Amino acid sequence: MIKLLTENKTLLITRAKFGFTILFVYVTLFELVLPVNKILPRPTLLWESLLSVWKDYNLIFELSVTTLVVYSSIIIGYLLVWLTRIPMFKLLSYFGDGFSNMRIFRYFPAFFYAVIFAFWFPESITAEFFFALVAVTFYMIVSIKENLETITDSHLVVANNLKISGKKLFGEIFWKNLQPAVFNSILKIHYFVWILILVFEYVGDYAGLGHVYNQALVYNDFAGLFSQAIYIALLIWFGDSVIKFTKSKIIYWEN
Amino acid sequence: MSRLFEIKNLSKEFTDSTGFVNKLFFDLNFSFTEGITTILAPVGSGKTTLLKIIAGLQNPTSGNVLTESESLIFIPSQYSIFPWLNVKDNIIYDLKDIDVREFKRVIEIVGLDGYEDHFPKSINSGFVFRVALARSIIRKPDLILVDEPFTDLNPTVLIKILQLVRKIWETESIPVLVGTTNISSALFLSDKIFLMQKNPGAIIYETDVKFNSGRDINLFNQPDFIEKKLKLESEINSLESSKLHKFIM
Repeated sequence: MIKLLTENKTLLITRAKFGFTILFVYVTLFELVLPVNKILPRPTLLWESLLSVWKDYNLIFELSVTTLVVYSSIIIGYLLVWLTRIPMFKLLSYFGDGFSNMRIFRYFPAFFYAVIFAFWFPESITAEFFFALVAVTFYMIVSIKENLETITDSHLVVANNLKISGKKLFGEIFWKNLQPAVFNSILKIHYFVWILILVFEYVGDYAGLGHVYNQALVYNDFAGLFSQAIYIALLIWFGDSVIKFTKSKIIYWEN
Repeated sequence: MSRLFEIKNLSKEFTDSTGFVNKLFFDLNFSFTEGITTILAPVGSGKTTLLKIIAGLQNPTSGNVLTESESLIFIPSQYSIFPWLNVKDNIIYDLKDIDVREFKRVIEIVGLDGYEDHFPKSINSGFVFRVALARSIIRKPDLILVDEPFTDLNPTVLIKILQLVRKIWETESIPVLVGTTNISSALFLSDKIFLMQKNPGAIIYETDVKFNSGRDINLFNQPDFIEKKLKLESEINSLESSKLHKFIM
């Protein structure tokens, strides 16, 4: 425990040192040496923008839209996978090869789907939500399919030997074996969904942080772009931490 | 009901990707009944498959397992307990009627009293085996089949586990069939040993095991134990190297 705390403390100090160094270089370079440039905004301008962007772009509303779409799609996608796990595991076990063929869709660039959805359903937050939900659910199912073979063989042998019902076999033993993989896929797709939704909103130019980005570009608000990026990064970092925390609570046997 | 198990002309073949037919074991014939029986066999001889066939978890290519017993519990070599359940829930997993007194009696027999709320990750592999054993005993089977239970155990834990398996037979009267590569453990534990070769798997020697002294740590130094071990080793050493690789002496 003491060793762990010391390691964490050392890591924190290292990160803080790195952060302060970057900040020092940034302030020195762009406040004093190159105050007018097209690389990064002046620190004082960025600071002002961090405060004013909330009012200028109605950021609370736009941020709420994007955050709600991203996290509700992840939560509902997870619940959908959980609710349909028994028929899904059966289907994937018997017809998984057919599903594997759908992996071809992975090779299309992600923004293509965002653009096409925004084109099909203009000015619709519902469409945006369904777009995110489909992406999240599809990714989780792909991850489950890919991890079916990692189910501990002796668990299946024991289940067979103890004559466990199919419902319990798929609903509990399969699910508990695959749950860590599902959470790992959520951690991966979390960032991916943010990008997809931001592209969707940017192209649709109707609501959300992507729409705000579009506006900032239209107004040539260089500092605004950066301050929004900082808020988005903080949100993604916070979301990531919440998902990791939830994982540690739900997948308690791996701690 | 008789608890006689007769293995008749049992064979198992696998066809690999090139179409080559690999005979894992061929025309096995042996029988066993009460007590602790061990199949002492080298790695790759098909003892796990044989145990699974006897337990009804796999089908043989040909031959039969003749028995009137229906309730057979197989304990796989690793990870046979569910990591998301605590010790208690693992033991009573999927049991419809749970007799609390019987549960307490079983956990006392296997030495898990006080560990009911622990999770598998927090207990060592010796305890994991105890959980698997308790889950088997509480179901009152006609036979417990144990696949290679002695790997990853330090000598002190190993002796305790061996004594525990003996206790299961002596106090619960549940016959146990063990598959192992470990000669000393097999001798310490068993009432009967079948020695099996590989390429293909076949029973080459069988012996009843009885000792004048009790089965405790001193048994390993007793003359009759050493004599029996030497006899088994000489049987193993009489085989070609491809048929005996690899035993734990």
